[in-house]
Amino acid sequence: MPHPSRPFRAAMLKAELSAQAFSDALALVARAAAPTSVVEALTGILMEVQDNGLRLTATNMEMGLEVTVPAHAVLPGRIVVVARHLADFVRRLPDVLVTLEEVEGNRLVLRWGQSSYELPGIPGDAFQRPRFDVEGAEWTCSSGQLSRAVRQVAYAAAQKDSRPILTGIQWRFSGSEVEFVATDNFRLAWSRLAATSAPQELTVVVPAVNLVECARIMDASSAVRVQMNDRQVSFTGDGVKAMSRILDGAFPDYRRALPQQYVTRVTAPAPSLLGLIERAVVVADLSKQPVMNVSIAGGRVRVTAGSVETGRVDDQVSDAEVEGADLDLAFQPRFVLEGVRGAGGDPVLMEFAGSNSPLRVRSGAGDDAWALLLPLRTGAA
Amino acid sequence: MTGQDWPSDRRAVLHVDANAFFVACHRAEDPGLAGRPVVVAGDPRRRHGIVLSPSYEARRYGIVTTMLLNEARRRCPQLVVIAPDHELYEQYARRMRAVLADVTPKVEPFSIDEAFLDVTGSRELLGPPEVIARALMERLGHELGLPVSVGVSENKLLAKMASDLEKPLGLVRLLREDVPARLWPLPVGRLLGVGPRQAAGLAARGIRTIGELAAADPGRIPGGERLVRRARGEDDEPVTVPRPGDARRLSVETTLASDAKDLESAAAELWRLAEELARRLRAAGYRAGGVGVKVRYAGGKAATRETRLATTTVLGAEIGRVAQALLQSIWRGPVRLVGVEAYALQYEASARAAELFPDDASVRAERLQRTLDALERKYGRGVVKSGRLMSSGEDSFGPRRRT
Repeated sequence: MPHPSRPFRAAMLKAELSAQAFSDALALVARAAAPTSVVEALTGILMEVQDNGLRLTATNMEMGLEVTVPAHAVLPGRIVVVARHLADFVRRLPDVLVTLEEVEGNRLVLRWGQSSYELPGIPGDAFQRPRFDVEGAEWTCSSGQLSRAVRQVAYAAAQKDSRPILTGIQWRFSGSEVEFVATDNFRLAWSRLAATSAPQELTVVVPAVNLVECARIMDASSAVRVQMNDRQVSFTGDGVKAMSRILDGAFPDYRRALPQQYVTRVTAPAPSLLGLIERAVVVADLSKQPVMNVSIAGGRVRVTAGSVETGRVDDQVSDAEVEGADLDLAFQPRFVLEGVRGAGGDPVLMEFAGSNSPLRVRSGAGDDAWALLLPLRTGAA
Repeated sequence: MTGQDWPSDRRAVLHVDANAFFVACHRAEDPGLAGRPVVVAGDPRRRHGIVLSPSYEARRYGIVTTMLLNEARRRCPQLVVIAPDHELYEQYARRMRAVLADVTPKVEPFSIDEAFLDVTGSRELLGPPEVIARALMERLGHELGLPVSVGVSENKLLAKMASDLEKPLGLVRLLREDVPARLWPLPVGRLLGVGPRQAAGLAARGIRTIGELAAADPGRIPGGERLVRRARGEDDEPVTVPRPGDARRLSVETTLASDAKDLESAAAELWRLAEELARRLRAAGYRAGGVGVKVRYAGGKAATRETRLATTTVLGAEIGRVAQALLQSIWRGPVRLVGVEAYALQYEASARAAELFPDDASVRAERLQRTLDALERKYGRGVVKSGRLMSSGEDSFGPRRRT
């Protein structure tokens, strides 16, 4: 084992593994490394050769990711190298056997065939391994469930942190199910998954960008163990670990935003509806302030977008079933697209509560995800 | 009236103004209130009981806006008192605009209960402007239960002046040629855009009526040319239709009498401008999505900085707070000019429904502000001021009635 007081006599790591496996692992972990940081170690990946393989860890203090890949461990040891360079390089290697070896002066050498790449390590003492195991509430789910629930809401989280809590995804555990909610104050996405052995009453808010990465790294695992306390949430899968800090503050209660009643219901087949929305996005995006107008009248749903200068599209939702009052509304086209995609399902059920009230989009087939979209104001509505 | 021809070279502009709007909304919801003396009374500064909007029946007892509720009750013991419900008013304002939009796409909301309509192009289809105006009055009355006054004219200035001439349920045609007879005898303070202070300044120059202003030498009055033209009934400002995500900007700036040497005095001026800018935003029915500041340093160099807001606002305090932070970030003092700008304007009929989870504190502040605006509309500017603006050199404040 390396010893701080005698660094030059420490063991120098050495291992062999497949370039493909190495590259995949780097790609997963490198996202947690800070692109730049005053603490140089945070831009790095910690590589540790152990009995069971090569362990890669990266953290930016907000989240941490860790993957262990099978490798033939020749000599145990640890080194920290700049994440981005290494990942970019290894991705371009053919799938051959690669030997990693630390050499004198804190440097790492990759060898494959007759070729080699030698790169400097960075001082690794400042690299703080994130704590992945925490005491606290626990829950086990399948990685597929987790990533689907996250995907269904993550798009609606706020990008800017003017209200920091809105950059998060709220999880609400209530024994038999877990709700996921994200909102940027203009739209809201909700998803739910049935859970066995979930905590009874618990709410945590996890930064959406972190949660997306944590769920991604868990993707190849079958079961995911989730542990939470009041500071962080940790995930453990097959050979992978992830953690994120959690956000402080009160997340708004989505039930306050849900309309009391709906005045118009439109049911439409998902493929043709998505096609129409995507076309409207293409046209509307040419203008600075993209707007998509939706007009429901006489059992037809008409969608227009664009302007005289940039071009206009005038489209009809085919095979739409309409019940209720006539309405005219305007939306941010991209929000509609993301909402319909996020809520998923076929057919798509759209429930309108009026020209200035949120539209609810959900699957006509199930009840496990929906989105709320606030219309744009158009004055004479 | 409808028999008269419309001069072919003139635009046709209507100003539609709902009468005793707040009361009318409650009456539309509760027909039992019809014909009774009713006031909407609320709480402009956490002191209960100021009349915000008296019905015409209540006005007959001498009850006026801002009167204390006790006093109003003393004058009329059977008075019905209703707490303000701004959501209800916004709902009716939207419905009213929907009716107006049936007549022409060119509708410019002026405040919650008023709008300008350019019906120049609607005459072919719908008939002379007075006929259109009459039809609107009837529809708003029957469908929404809102009594309105309509001014019919060739520009926004005269249309607005005309609708003020007869209330409630007035329909007044006022063209340029009618101005000498109908407007010139009125006190100058009745001219749209002339505030109490300006009226006092004009009076000091011997100008007491709109007619005297129309005859005045523009070179000798502050605000000269434009003011005199308005007194003659001239105004070519178009009826502008706000659009969602309007790209227009709105700004106010001032060149200081003497350079502001320190950040505090420049910021004080900036706060005053922010309140003014917010007032204009509200009057035009816009919300600011971004705030910018501009300064010109004593040396002549200018600097600007702007930032997007997380949520739109119409409040002077919020604009002022952002503007002050921006000023701080570019401060290299002293400055001779400061300005505040609102951009990424959004047109909004109602308060905050554009957010799913509005911040409660600012919703309350906005309600208060809209109540204050209603008071100002009745009593002129300066009837209520924020504590921040009262600190220095205000000669007087307190109710000032239009004479």
